[in-house]
Amino acid sequence: MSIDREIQRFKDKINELIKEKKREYIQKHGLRVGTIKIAWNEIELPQFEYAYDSEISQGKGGAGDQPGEHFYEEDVSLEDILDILDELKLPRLEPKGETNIFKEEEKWTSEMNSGPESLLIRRRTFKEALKRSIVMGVYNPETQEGFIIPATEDKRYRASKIKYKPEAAAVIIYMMDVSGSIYDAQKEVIQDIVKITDGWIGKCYPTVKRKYIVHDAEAKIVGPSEFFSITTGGGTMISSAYLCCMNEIKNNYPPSRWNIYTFHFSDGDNWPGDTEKCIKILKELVPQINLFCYGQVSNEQFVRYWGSGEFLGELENAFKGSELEDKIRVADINKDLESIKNAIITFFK
Amino acid sequence: MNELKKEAIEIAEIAKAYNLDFFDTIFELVTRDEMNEIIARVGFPQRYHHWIFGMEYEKFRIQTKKGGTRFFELVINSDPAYAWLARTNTLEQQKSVIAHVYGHVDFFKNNLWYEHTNRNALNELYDTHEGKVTGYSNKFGELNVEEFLDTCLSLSNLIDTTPGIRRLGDFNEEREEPVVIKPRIDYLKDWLNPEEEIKKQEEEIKLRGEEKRKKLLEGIIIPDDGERDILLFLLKYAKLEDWQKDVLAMVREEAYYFLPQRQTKIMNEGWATYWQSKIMVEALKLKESEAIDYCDTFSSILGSGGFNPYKMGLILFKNIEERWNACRYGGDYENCTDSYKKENWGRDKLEQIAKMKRYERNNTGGRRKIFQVRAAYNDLIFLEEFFTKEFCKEQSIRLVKKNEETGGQEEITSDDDFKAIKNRLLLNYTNCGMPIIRLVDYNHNNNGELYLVHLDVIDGQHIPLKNESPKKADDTLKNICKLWGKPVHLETGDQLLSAKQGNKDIIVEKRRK
Repeated sequence: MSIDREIQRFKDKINELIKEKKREYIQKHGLRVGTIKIAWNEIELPQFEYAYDSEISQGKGGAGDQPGEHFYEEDVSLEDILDILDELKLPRLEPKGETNIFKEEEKWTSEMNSGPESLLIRRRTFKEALKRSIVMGVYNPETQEGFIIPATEDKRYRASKIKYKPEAAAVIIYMMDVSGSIYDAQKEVIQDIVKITDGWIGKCYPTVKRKYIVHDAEAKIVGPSEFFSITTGGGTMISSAYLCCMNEIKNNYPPSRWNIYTFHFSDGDNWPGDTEKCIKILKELVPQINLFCYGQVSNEQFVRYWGSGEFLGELENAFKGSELEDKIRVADINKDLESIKNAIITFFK
Repeated sequence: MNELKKEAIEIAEIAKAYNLDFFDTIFELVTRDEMNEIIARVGFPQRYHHWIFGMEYEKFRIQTKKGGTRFFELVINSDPAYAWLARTNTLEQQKSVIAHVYGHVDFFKNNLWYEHTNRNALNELYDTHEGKVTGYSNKFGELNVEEFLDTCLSLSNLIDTTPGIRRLGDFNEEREEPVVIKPRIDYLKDWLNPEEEIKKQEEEIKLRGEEKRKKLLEGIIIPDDGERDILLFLLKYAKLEDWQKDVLAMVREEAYYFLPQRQTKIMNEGWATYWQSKIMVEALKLKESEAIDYCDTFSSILGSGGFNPYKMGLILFKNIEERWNACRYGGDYENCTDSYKKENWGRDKLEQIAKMKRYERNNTGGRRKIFQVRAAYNDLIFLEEFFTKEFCKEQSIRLVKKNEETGGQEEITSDDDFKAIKNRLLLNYTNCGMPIIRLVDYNHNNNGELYLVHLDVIDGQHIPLKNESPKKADDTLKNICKLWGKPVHLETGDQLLSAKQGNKDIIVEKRRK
């Protein structure tokens, strides 16, 4: 008699417990990657027991195993955090307006008179044969005499029908300042946020495409792996990225068919005089897209010497009270993970 | 296999010559995996399905991976007895393990505390129980039955561990079934017994049962010092479905079946190991290679760290034999103040016995005493009587406390704190080391609420119940409340825990008494 079934059920139980503990963990520690532990006495059935403060020991050895010993450890990963994001009660992202992307879908709802034998519908075929037999007088339903033999013309086969379903598709455009003032520590923070936003938008849309734009004084489109690895030494012209983004949308992702989400991360420093240009572009760009998010990732050292970047404040001021205010979300992010959580909430709530 | 059979017969002969008296024993060789499964099911190759056995399996697997325990055998208390031997044992190990098994079976057969156990456990208990649980799972839903089993198993310690006395009597309620007319032809059955009629009858039976329960409740008399068999109380008087009663009765029956094994852990293992060593060393003419192998087996049983019941039991039995051989008991010996004289008390008698031939020793005072002890004692009385100050010192048995700050262990008693060590040891074996919970009132607040009391005091100090992450006492109390359906209170120390139905779940309130 194998015990596999019991072991399986036990493991299911553990998994339930792990889920619960992860949820507790994230509620307590925020969106922080870490480890949870499970002790035997958390899964054992409760019984009345003494809480002893001493143990008997024999010979040279110490007391035996402690019952509270942990036997299972699991890391709380970013994927878990994404699951838990559901519980931050972020509102689902709504596709805007009409969406004209259609998806073909085969549904096996129809039937036809010919087809491969494997698709034969026996029930329907027999029904047809019964009808024909009664009409032809071969079979008498009252006395149940006679035979029912399906002929070729009785046979019915399953057939597919193609349906067109409208489908919402989204494209995410990430932009990042890769000039010298952005360091690895900040990139890690950005990477975390990108993973979370990626996951959340992925949950809301069946198809999601991603574009990555890096910029210093010039902008270019790169692949996902390059996005975080490129570092350049030049100055910073944010408008270059916005222009690049606008061109990309114009060429490949017509706003009438795509839900467009754009994210821009920088340290907030910009070329003098470029900010006005940026705002001008944004005024044109934002009405076409679903959301424009700007995350200002401050670099502690730079903040200490020159103060934090000004782009965030300038952006906020420029759109305060305007009709675009709701679509432009800005967040100040530092290494503290609580601020990541806040940024996510600002972006999506 | 045949060789092993021959050996088993030979060893049985020797064991009988030593006056051991055991049931016929059926040996079966099992692989390591099978062995682990049997261990997980507490000795039975087949039991009802429940995740808890999966947990035991995993627990044991992790433990063995760490390189701790290894099981050579497992014996079931039944007539005939069944013993599972690990296939991985060498022939020499196998022989010594067989001798060990005969020791266990002798103990099962002759120890007073096993008298009430079902000697056909393999078939009558475990086979039928498996069938029952499977049947109920199919009928009432696997998850429902599992959840109910969780509740019952969590309470399985709430039985009366005092011997022989079943204060509320036993549980053998006759169950009423709807009257079904059995037709000669099978397909008429549904027609002759319309569904509505059966349903009506079932309703009536339910009503009658309810009334019976109320009447029963009026007539309960709870002993002055409270009822210990809380499972039986729930079984008789709680408002449960028939299948639930059946499952609860099953859990209780198994708890009573395993009770003596929990009550005689030290003695049973000690006795078996004692005879294992006697039979192997004295009776079988061991070859040198075999002797080494044997020593290896033996030391791995006795050698593991911490408190070891095998070791404790064996040494105590040897100790008793020697003491009674040398007449080191009674007032004269106890009151003797001359330490030289005390140490050499009865040395001449011991020397005389050492010259005796093997089976002649069967009638020595020491041998007779240990047979008497094996018949009438359990661990608690055994330790109470034979765990002496000398023994404690000789075996360097200490009391250790976990240091919360460093995480290490530190000794908290000096050598002369014998009383503290003994008290703590006895507590481990009082009521199988479980707190004693009594039911003192079943109509508390005149509202049918249960009132339980936990009153254990040692050296004037109350030992609290475990109730910190996870909240074991609270959760257990909730489970009683779940079965009883009305609030349940537990008095423990200066606290009163009350479990009652909250808005959604059962909640526990805590207050000072």
